[in-house]
Amino acid sequence: MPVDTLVPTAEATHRDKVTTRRARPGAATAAASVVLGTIVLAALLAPVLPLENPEHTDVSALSAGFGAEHPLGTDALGRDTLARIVYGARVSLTVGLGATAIGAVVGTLLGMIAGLSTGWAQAIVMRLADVLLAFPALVLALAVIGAVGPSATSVTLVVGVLFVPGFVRVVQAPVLSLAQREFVLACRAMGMSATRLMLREILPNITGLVVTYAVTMFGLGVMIEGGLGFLGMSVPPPAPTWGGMISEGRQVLAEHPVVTLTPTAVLVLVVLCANVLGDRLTAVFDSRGAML
Amino acid sequence: MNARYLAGRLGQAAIVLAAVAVVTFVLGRILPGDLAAAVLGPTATPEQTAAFNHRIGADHSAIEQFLDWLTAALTGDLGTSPLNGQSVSAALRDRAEPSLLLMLLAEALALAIAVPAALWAAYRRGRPADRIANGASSFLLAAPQFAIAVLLVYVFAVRLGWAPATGYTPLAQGAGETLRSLMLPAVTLALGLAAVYFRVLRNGVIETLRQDYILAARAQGLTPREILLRHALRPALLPLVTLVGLNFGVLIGGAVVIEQLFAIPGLGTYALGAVRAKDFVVLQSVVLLIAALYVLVNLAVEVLYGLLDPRIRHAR
Repeated sequence: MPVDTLVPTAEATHRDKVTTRRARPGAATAAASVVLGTIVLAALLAPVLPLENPEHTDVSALSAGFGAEHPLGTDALGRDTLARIVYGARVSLTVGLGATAIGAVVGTLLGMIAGLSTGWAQAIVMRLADVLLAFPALVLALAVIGAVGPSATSVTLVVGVLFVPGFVRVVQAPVLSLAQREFVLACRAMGMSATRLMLREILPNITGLVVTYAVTMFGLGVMIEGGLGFLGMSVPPPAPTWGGMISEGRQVLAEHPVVTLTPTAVLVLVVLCANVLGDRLTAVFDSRGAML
Repeated sequence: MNARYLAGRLGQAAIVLAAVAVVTFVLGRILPGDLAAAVLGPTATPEQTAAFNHRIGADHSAIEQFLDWLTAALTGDLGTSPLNGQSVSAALRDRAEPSLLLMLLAEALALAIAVPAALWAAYRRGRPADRIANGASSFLLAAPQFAIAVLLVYVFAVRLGWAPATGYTPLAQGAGETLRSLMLPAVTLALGLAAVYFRVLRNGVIETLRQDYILAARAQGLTPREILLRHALRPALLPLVTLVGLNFGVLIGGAVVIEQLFAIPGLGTYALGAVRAKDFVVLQSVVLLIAALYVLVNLAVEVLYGLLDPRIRHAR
């Protein structure tokens, strides 16, 4: 056994403390933020980072394991896994963020309208949400993407539309009860316009809720993009997507499981981090809500 | 839950389904690609194309086509696929078996894992067992189904050889073989579901265990087992009923990726095949069937909820 593992260095003891300490929400949240931040940064900077071309095939290193030349190995065609993961992150994150933004903006607006208005406007919005929810979501997504052709834009738009009814439901219920509160009645009595009431009075009260839900939906968006990529319905090959990498790796699963397991681990890690942040935000806003 | 309320909900369900039918129909028509060209090939003469379009009714106006399809569908005749001349109703019957079995198996497994785990974790709240179970559920929630499936295939099919990696053996060839062929896909779906059920049930049980009547039960000297099973489980099960029902609906047609991955000839693969072939006759029927099952299951859950929880019945 090497000596340096027997004598704890300052760094090692510090690490032990971190890992053995009772997992406080703070530590997990910080770790999740760091991981997500690193991946976002890497995806943004991908063109200037010293990475191989993600579509370049290195025939001298097929399905190579971890090593100096290819830090995370290569796939069955000899393409650098690290470069493919970083470039694949650009697709995953675009879809995750874009779809969540579409769902959040449209869903929140419709949810506020459904919550504040009574009668037909509310009925129409809520029934539309029901219709969209009753659709087999993935079949719908596949049909539309198949029709317009798979690309980052089409995938983002379709997933975004699928996210709308969820946001409508999340927003509508609390807005319904906010609408009964004195300050809203007062604003209405003073003749405030519906638009101003929604944006200035209602929106600030539901922002926490929307952000919390959005973080979770971001993780789901990344996951859905992975599923579509797995079915070959995301950005078409040879451009890298995480789902596509996992699917392609299955051909050499028996001999070289790492080819599939590495992108799988990254995908799981990103969704896990988004969920951790979402849980933390839920706890924060729950305790704030309890004080009201 | 009075009759009037129920009638109202049924009416709403009918409206939702009608809207789904219209949207699916429109979607089927705007999918690019010419069905006649796909079926007849590039050598088809204009007369052949016209005859084909006449046979499938594509030479009528869209509204006529829709009404024809709808009246036939309401009498149980979903037409025949223009691609292979197969009866859609018969195909749906064949395809429903693996999908429904897979769904039931996955739900049963998920509940078998989640209910005991959640009771135990809630009882030992904050202890190592609870934290391990919580960590496992977080991990499973973050893992996409296809990723879990790939891992399970690697371990149980490639390494251990316990179950076939793909394929489905129909019930007619023996229930044992069917079960074996559905093992890996069912476990894949069950793990994801179990994680969700575990979370909801654990939080519910923890909430219930704080109630005064639990304190009273403990003061009477009931064992933890009796308290958990008799007094804490039942109220905490209610939110789970909703969730299980919702997932029944989602699983019926939502297991597309898993059915595809394990080559199971279910409703999901049928829908995916129809999308790929632009076979809108099949697509609109299968989507409508899946949506109808989803809406009906959710309606049933709502009724069941009222039966299980007297408070809701009286509130309405």
